[in-house]
Amino acid sequence: MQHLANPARFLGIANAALPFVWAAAVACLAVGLYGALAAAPADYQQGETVRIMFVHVPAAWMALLVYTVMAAASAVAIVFRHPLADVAAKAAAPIGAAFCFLALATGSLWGKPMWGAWWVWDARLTSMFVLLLLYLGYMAIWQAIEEPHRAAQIARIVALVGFVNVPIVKFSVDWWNSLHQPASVFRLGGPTIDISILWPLLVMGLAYTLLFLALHLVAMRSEIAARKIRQLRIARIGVG
Amino acid sequence: MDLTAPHTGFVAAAYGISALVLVGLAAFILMRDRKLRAEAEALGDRRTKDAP
Repeated sequence: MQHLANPARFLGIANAALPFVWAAAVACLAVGLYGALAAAPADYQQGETVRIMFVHVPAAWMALLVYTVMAAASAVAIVFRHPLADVAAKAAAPIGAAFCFLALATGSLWGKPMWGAWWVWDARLTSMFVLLLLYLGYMAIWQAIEEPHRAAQIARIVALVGFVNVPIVKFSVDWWNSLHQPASVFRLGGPTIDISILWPLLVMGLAYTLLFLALHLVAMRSEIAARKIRQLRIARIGVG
Repeated sequence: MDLTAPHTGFVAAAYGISALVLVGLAAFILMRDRKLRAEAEALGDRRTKDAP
């Protein structure tokens, strides 16, 4: 971890890795979409509507995973003062917010034909909505506070406190009566869904993870450039 | 996939919004990256040129 603490070293590794990560993401997305739209059978109860699962579930997984990455990076920033930790957390937030929005939007599009409602204030849906608000709040802190060190201090606390919501989202379907179905992939006892539907779902999950990795590396590179610009401008003002 | 099945509009909308958001996000991140790196490079070059 400390080996990557130097931004120049990180940029070297990120620039070398990015073409491979992009290629792997596009390949997985192509295979995943083939599996989701062509190979997987229609569900005996839900019919073709079940295909929404292949974009809804990976988006929901990523919304939780990205927030976990943000919270872990914020913890590393507090404990180890790792110079790239705040960069990693800040760069991840808009990507996580996009996945969270997609989970809610595609869930709503799935809910209307299956439940007869676009939205219900159910424990899973509500905790997911709270997660979106946490993402937006985290991003707003970086936008609203001009002094980066002060913004980082507050953003770290929001990321860590907000992490409490992640297990609430995950276990909400077990802890409360919910319209949302319980976990069917990551559960004790193994997945409950058929392999013909499971493999496209897992490939789409991998595609979304690789897409996040590629976008995160690029966003971290941008954030390092933005910090360099700020330092150079301050240096120019100091010289002037 | 059976395009004549009921509710295919919901399926199309879910895939459409996913594509729109993810392509839009990627375009935004990549364009911002290009702009910021070019700006950082230009400022760095100017600083080297201005150095005594």
